[in-house]
Amino acid sequence: MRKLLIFAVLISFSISQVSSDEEFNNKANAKSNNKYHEIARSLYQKPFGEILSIPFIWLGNLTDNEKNKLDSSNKQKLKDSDQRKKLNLTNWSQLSINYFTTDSMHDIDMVTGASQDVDKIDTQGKFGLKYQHELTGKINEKFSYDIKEDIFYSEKSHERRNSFFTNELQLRLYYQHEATYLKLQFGNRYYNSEETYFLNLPGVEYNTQQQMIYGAILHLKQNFRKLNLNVYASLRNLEYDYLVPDDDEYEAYNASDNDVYTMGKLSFKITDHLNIFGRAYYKDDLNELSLFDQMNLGGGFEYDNRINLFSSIKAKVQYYNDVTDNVNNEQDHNLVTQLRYSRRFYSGISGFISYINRSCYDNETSQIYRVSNMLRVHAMYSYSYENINNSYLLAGIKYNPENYGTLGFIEHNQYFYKDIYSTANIKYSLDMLTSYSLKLEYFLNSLQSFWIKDEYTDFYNIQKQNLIFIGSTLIF
Amino acid sequence: MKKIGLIIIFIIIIIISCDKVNNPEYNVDKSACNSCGACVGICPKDAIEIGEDGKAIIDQTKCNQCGKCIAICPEDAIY
Repeated sequence: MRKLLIFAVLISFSISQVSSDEEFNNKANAKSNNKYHEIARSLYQKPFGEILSIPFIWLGNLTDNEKNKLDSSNKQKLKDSDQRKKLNLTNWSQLSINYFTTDSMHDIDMVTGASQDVDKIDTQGKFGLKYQHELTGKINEKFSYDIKEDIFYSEKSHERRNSFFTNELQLRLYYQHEATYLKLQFGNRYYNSEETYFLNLPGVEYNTQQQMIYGAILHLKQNFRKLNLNVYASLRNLEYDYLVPDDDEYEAYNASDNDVYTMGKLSFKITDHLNIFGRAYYKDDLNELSLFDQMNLGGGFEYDNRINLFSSIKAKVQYYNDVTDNVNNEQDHNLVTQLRYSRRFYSGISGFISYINRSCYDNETSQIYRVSNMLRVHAMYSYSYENINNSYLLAGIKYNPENYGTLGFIEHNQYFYKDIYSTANIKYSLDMLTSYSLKLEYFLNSLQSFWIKDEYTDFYNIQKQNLIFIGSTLIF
Repeated sequence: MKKIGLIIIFIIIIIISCDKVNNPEYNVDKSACNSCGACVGICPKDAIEIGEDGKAIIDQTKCNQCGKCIAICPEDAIY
């Protein structure tokens, strides 16, 4: 009955577009990979990851044919832009169906830790569904909003999810006028708790299963000439069931857990490129014992310089002191150093080097410890026969020895035939996983595509998952 | 460029000379996070929330360093 209900909900949207987790993520970052993605990105104003901070533009001498291609592409974008301005509304939708070609061969899910015996995971089914929808619009010059809906359902244990069913809804209202920015957000994530893996909540001795998480965020930014104020407050509520053993069965009881997160940051602009700031962070678990409260006080400086058209450098150094006793003593005094250098060349090659170091100082032993180091290098070559960053070869490494996060990846995207593009990528992690995916995408027009994809993941060399997707994307 | 070189040398010295902290800690590289929420959906401790900028934040008081978020992050943004 539940499955029928879910299908009915999805059909009621009456939009025939399909997608996948990976597709959604690829859309949202600079790896995006076809001639319409730039249009898609401009339409779909989600906060893109800063994978490559300098936009890739082919800087070589363009041929007349390439210039014509560029002109026609720009004309199409202007046309789309005019239509959007009239409507003040942008809609982005994806729906995906996936089929598992692999079986669960082990009693324990290596990623989620779920047990087939205890968690009663049903691994007989083969299909999964995912629907994502974002709507953004402007009320007037000062107010805008966006609505995000994300529905996920799987018949089978999915290695990237902790539940067989989730429904996430987010509503955001923005106010922006002159030097003031205000955001109000409400979010809700619903689980079918019977098919959700056990949580391991601190302070709760019984097995727990999430039912719902909801919360509200208030975020304010205000500029006063060289001063900048940035504050936010977030209230988060978790509804869960905890299972108390009763003879051979379990009795389920309902409970909730609340947390409040607040942050305030005041920065002062010394030069065009350099800021100094002070920052306070406070978390209250709203329990009488306050076992999980946390408070940080600190400050530092930020440097951001676009050196020239081809290179830029960013740096941030931040110190903070944890003034509560709920985190280990050795991590009372923390120093975070971040560096990022981006560069592009005439030859169509571009990339960046990013480094983050986290260190801490222990008062008792007077010793400095390294918490984590991450070095990331990405390089990308854009083929010249496409006008703007459409066909490319991207390779990168991430070195993170402290947390077993060292890995490398290669991604290749290329025009295949007419309006068909192919994408292939492979990722190898020393300690975590190996994965690859292959995709063919056909663009019906500039705003709708259909695609098929195969995605294989081998977690820890033990748990293997292979999924075949069929899908489409629609933007209007 | 000399200053940059000195900073890099200083950082390398830190990497080589310091001991690893006894209790590891995971954090999010905000410049890489694409706000997909996958880590929120997989965390067995309910230790990850989405901050004011849409990027993931790890609550260090709840996190037990299981590493599941590292494995599933599509942008490898957790370190």
